[in-house]
Amino acid sequence: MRFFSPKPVRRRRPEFLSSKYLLSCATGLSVLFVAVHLAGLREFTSVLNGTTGSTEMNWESAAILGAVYVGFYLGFVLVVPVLLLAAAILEAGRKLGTRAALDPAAARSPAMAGVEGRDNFGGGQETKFL
Amino acid sequence: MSPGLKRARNGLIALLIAGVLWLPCLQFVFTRQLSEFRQAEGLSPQARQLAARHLQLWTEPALREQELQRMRASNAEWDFMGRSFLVWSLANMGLRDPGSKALYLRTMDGIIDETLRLEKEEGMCFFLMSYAKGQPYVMQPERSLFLDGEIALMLAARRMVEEKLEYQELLTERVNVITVRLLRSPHLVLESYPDECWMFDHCVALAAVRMADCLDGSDHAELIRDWIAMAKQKLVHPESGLLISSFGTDRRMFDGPEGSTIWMVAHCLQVLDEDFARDQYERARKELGEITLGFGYAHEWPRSWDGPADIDSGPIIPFFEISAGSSGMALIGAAAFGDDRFLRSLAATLDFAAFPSRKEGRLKYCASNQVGDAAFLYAATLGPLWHEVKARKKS
Repeated sequence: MRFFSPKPVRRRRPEFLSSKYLLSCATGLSVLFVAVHLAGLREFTSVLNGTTGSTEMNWESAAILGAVYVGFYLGFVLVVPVLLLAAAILEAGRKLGTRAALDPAAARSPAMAGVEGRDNFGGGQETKFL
Repeated sequence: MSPGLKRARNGLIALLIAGVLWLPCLQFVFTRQLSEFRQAEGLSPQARQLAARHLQLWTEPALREQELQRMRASNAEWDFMGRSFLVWSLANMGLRDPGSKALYLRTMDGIIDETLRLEKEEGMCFFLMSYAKGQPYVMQPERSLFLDGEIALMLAARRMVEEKLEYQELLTERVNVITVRLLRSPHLVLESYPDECWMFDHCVALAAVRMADCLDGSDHAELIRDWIAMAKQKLVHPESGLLISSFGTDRRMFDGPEGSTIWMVAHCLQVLDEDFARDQYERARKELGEITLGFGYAHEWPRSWDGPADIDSGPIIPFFEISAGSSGMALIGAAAFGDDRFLRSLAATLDFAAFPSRKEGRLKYCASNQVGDAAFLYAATLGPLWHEVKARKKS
């Protein structure tokens, strides 16, 4: 019995703007935000009122750290939820497309007009109308 | 259209829909019950947490030193104003929470005594920006209304909570300096910096004079009336109807109406001329206050005045023209005038953009500093002191 595969399996990168791509962006941003938060960079946001975050650091460095924190924080509260919602919308669209493919009556309904056999919602699956 | 392009199109449409859905919902993450920030009676949870942090600063000298060093590196005035706002807050807290009055009074006395000692030992310039030494004051001997007014209001606020005879003489002395010099001034205005007068400092000083009248039975009603009449006539920006923020000793305008000034000015006017105070608040709210997607903020300058970002306004965020200084002070205006909708939205912005940090029941805002947090505490607690002044004035 072999525990390890002899060749490393290369994970496929998610396709650009697919739901998996958006999810991986959201995860990446969240991890980065948690990292800067745990590193204590929140203290340096005092740069916003013109006060340095630390008296032991020069003004420019403290300002950069403050700006980095603000950037990732905004990414976390503004961008991450948008990415997650967009991924959910794409996933819902993909499922709807798949169901329509399996149910020709639904496929002929006006709501499904224009939906083609190939899945373009980023799920990476190809479906065929029966 | 290729599958890749279709996927990109769908992805972009999904992002757009998600953005349109999320942005209006963001406020619900940060908007809380107003009672979290401010309560009609007693102390709100946020006020208690903010106060705990300030009380810690005054009981741990090393921590205070570090905080003051950070602020004084940018602006020595903030060191002084942080003390003033904290003493005024503690006075309101003493009236709201009699059970902890002894602690608040002890802290107020500690702050007042240290401030007076520093003023005496280091001179008034210790609490002023460096340009105070740049040229001589017009009126001699030189004094700054910024210091005299705020110290007088600290002394009066402390005595309103509980009489302290030692401070009676100090208050009378300070009030006499202010009133005698005002009457000596050809235009009824006093300098805070050489040939530079500030509306903020005049209104704080006159509120202290009014309080001293209530405490000691003196009567400066005529002086206050004359000053308000003069200000309405000579110190109002014609386009907005708002009081200007700084002017020369000959009353020529330096800075027009300014958000970081007008909210506190309107609040101080409440004990000087209530109708005028309400008029100024409503104009400021219309000209400077905004609520976008549930978040409140304030501009530093009205549309009719083109002013730069400065040490008082803090950085101004472009496009929305959000001024950190004006938005922080707007909390005081909204709290003073019972503008609950605006206050709630400003408190939401505070939680969203000022980076609250809670540790062991203590709250500070990382994007703020000690003076900013003390001003927030004042907004969360103000009311009883002014109520007491009005009640004593009537009686």
